[in-house]
Amino acid sequence: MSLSRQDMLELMALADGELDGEAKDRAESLVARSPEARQVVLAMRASVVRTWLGEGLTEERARGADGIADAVMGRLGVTEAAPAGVVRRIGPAPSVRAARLGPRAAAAGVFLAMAAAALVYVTSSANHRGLAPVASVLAPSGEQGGGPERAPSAGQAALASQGVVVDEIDSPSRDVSIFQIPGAASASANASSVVVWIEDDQGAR
Amino acid sequence: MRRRSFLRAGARSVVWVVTAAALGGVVGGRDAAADPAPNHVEISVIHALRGDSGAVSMDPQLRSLPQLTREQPFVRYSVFKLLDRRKFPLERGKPLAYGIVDGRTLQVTLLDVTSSNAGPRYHVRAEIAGAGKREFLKLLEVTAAPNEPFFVGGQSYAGGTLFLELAVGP
Repeated sequence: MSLSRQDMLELMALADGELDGEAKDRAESLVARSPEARQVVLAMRASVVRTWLGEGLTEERARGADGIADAVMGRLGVTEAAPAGVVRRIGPAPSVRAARLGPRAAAAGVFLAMAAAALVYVTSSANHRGLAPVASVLAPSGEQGGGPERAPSAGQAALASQGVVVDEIDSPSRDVSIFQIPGAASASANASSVVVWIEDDQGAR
Repeated sequence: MRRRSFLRAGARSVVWVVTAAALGGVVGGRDAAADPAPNHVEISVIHALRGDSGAVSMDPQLRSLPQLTREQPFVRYSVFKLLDRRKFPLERGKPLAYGIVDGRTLQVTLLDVTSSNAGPRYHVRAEIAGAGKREFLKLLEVTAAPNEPFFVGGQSYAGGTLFLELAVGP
């Protein structure tokens, strides 16, 4: 049985002790019935504990940390008792945090990458289908046919125009184009202006 | 006794100084607030059509448009007629509503006037809404030089389209 990505994320969260309620029950039941899931959780917990059991802690701090380490070892089901008088060492807190954040960061990264890919896909497919994205900069269809010669982006218009700069446009569900034009009525010959073209409803008026 | 009157005189001086400073501040502030640079917005409504002959017919009142007819998107049309042109005072932060001939409403707000090396710049917001119809222009914000017009086109009207020309300046 192979684990799904969702299962893996839940198992990671379970290993980190972050699950509760239904999700926790679901993950624990998965661990109970799937040896693969069990391996994943154990491997993850072991890696966290290995990081915890680093070096560089003084005996005073280690004494205080013993309770935590014991709790973790108990939770892992490690039965072999530590020899009496042995001081377990716990690594510095930042490394623990980093180790614990690892799976979460990976999950967040995967999620962000998927979100970005979805955004790119939705944008491009909307443009291809002729749907009207918010404040999109598209070539206007025009009423006379004869396709537009150019449809500069808002950013280009803002950079190139000294006379008028478009700061923001929002026209939900309509195609918007920005045309940069030479100075219309300005005192300075170098200035330029813009035409914001918004597609109206067909036969609206 | 002498010492007490000296102190009293000192206290009186302090009160005078503080009062004078406060009054000066109030009067000065009032002067500054009472004399803001008056700004205006000029709105021109241009009806553009595609003529049969293809020859350009330009309303003589459209002083700046002839040079633009070779540019997109004006180049698609050959007949340009000025339907309305009005100039309104525009106060900072106070929206101005203008009823467009097609039934929609244009709202113009002067957001800010900033100064740069090249002179003042007008930060303007425009919105076009129509009752019971899909919002045409929810938000447009531009920064423009004084009296430098910008256009909003695309509204279908009487077999053609409308170009709204807006110019903000003193």
